[in-house]
Amino acid sequence: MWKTSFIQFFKIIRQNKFFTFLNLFGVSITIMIVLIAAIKIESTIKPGGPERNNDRMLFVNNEVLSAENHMAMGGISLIKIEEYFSKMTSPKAIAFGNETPWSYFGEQGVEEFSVKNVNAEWWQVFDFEFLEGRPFGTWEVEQSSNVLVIDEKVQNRFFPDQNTLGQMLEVSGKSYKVVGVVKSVPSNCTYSFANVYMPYTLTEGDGKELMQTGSFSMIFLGASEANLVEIKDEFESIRKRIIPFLDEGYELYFGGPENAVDSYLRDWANPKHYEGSTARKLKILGRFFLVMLLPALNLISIQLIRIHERSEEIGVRKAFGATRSGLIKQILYENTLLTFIGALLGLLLALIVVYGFHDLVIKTLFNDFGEGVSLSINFILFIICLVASLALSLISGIIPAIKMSRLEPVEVLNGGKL
Amino acid sequence: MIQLQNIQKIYQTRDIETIALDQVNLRVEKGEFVSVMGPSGCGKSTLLNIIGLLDKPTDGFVQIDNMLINKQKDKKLASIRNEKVGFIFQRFHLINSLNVIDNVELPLLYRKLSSSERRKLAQENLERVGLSHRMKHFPSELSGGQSQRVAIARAIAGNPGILLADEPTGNLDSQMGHEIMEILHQLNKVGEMTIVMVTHDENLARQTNRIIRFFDGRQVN
Ligand SMILES: Nc1ncnc2c1ncn2[C@@H]1O[C@H](COP(=O)(O)OP(=O)(O)OP(=O)(O)O)[C@@H](O)[C@H]1O
Ligand SMILES: [Mg+2]
Repeated sequence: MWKTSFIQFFKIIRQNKFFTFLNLFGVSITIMIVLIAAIKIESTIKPGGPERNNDRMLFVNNEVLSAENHMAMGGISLIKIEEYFSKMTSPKAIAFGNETPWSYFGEQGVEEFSVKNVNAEWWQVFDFEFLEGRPFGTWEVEQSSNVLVIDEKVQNRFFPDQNTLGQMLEVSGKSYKVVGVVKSVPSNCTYSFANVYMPYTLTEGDGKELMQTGSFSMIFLGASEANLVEIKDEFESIRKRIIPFLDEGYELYFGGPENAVDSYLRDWANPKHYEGSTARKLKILGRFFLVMLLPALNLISIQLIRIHERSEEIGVRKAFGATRSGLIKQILYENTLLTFIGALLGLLLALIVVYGFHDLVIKTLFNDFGEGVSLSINFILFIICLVASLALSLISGIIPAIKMSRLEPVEVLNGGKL
Repeated sequence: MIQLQNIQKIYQTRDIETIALDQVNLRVEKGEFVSVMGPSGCGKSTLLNIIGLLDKPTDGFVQIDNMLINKQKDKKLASIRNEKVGFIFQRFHLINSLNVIDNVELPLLYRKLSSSERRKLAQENLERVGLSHRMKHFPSELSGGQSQRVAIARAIAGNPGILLADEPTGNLDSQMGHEIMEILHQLNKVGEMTIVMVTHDENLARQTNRIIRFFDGRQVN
């Protein structure tokens, strides 16, 4: 029975090439785009590398100082971190740092590197892979020791064939000793990525007054899910403790602490959203469904037209002995099989694009900031897409199939109305 | 054997009611070859569709081989259509996406047969209508006469006792028409099929056992 249906299916689609093409094309291209777009989102939310444990991390990137007629928005000021938040007891480890660029004027012109100025616990929060040497410790940070941790890229650039550890490296006019070399961080690890890491105490630092914003980010590492809640609570109580020390009438908000997803979705430009991102998530989800509505309607209408196109065939089948349930089964079977093939094609296309045009995809998705990012297709997402499109084709097939099958054979033969 | 009792068929469209068949009583014996004649719109196709279980009468009883058709379940109706009746449509109604042999196999798909058995039966029946050399062609590549012969092969592939033909020669020239009639006579005599044929051609009708005449939905004799 199934073998016969299968063969029949191919005979039918072979002849209706145009609809078959439209149907397959619609499903496969949509799924391909979703899968590839998801790579971008996923690589931001779950970037791997030193942030592979980011489901136990909470991030705070900005603060807002606002009064009735005034508002200041920026990174977190150093004083709030040093005096308050770094003294929190609930997190397993607290990392903070800011970023400064380093332009190196060499024989090959200007080369750009990224420098992060970080605290000692940075190395506990993030899971760096040390190729040589060690991280700098609490004492070195407190003493503002001239030490550096560099990545492979900097090592290859400045110390290609000599021992790296203990060497001096000049960064922006000052000399530092290299104490460690880490494996290069993929650039989608936005929090941990840098080419050079140095103690934050070596730089000026900003935000030395409570009434100033700064340029720092904080990352809390929790021991467990429950711990993350405690961290949020403790953070909140500290925020409330700071407010009385601000100028009269000022409020203080933070962009966080929140997980990677919320941090990604945070709307930088709109401080109202600092109150939580559920609305924003819903908005994005709504937009996603709105965008998906088009291919969905497309799939439904193509399938409806296909069934309509086949009314003569269905009438003839009825006249020669097809049962009502047999016809419904046949129509649904063919619809879903076609969609299934389309979905598989979509996966195949996505794989071809991702692995065959790797560099182009990186460039398209990450502009020029895609160094070291590994692309991989999310198969769970594929299964979700597959189930969704199968459900759609079942739903779009079942009503006309039932209607068609209920009509008397002559009515269908004469092009019965749906 | 076909028996119709007090058959009435009323088509209800928006504001007009068409009585296509009115109080029709008819009996066709096993092995008979009867023709149905009458002016256009008098209800001939409607009658044939009701006999072939392609449509339901508004009122009255249909019996095929002593079995009352009214109120049968869909499964049963489907199996009667499949096993007892073969239908030849005026407009062929071949499935364009299937080639000739697949079209002929269609009624056999709804039987418990292996694919090789189906193929064999379909081939035999195509031979009976003289079209075995066109098996792999598609309907769009056939002439009208060839299409009608494929339609006949399909109608008889399942070896039904009753063959219903709605103007089988209506779309063909008289030469082709005679060839088709020849095949039908063969099926009636050698294959012992009961045949009911609608026709406008008095000459063809006269070659059959009996002529049933209709006028305005009623039988006139
Ligand atoms: N689906 C329908 N809806 C409404 N009226 C219909 C329908 N089918 C047929 N009729 C009407 O029923 C009557 C009988 O139609 P039928 O097709 O049986 O005629 P016929 O004798 O086969 O004519 P012809 O020789 O032209 O094929 C006609 O008046 C026709 O208009
Ligand atoms: Mg007619």
